[in-house]
Amino acid sequence: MSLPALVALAGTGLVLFASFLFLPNAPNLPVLGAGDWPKLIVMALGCGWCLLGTVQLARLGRGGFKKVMAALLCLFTLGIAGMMTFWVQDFSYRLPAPIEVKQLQSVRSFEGIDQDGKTVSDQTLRGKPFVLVFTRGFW
Amino acid sequence: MQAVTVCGDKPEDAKNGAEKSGVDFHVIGDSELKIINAWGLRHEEAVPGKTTARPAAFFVTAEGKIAHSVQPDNYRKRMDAEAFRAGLRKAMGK
Repeated sequence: MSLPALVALAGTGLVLFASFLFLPNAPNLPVLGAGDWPKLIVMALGCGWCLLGTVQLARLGRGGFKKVMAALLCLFTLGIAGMMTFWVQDFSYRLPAPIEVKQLQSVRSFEGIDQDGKTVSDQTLRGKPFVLVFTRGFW
Repeated sequence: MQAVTVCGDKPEDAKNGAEKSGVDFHVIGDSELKIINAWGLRHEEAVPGKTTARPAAFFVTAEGKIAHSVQPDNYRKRMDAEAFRAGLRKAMGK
């Protein structure tokens, strides 16, 4: 395999890697945190790298096969970038609306089992103030 | 002040997560979404294949009244320490 082809493949690999890094954080976007910028830079570098490599590959290629491969790599990179845009937008708009809470309304009843197997409910917590936090969970 | 967190994790995942993080508050893995649905805080497919709770915090008084609530519209907008303390003060009637 020629050097430009390797370069192009490495670029595609980088784009895929950046995509992988993005997925678990998709619901957080479009507000970008400090940790997102390195991923974006890797993604942009990967795209640029891949396109440069494939253009070079197309220039060097003598046969039709190489040109087809170059075109496919370009399309693949752009496809991944397009898919990322779709995913990011799709998830960022799905966060449900907040529930309505009136000042000093009674807490809704709830009951669950905690990590130690203890039953926790609004009744078991009654008598002391508490904070009830809903989260995405651990992952 | 007592603290309870509810998420859509399976109970065993919540247990493992709580142990790894070393938290000393109640962690409820509500994978059947009983509490989350009852509160109307279901976030369908928050990540592919996983439905869990939208982010929300409710500061409740000793009498069981909601004194303050925070429901950010983005996972990244987490409460800072001052906002948390303000909620606690309201729940404690200070």
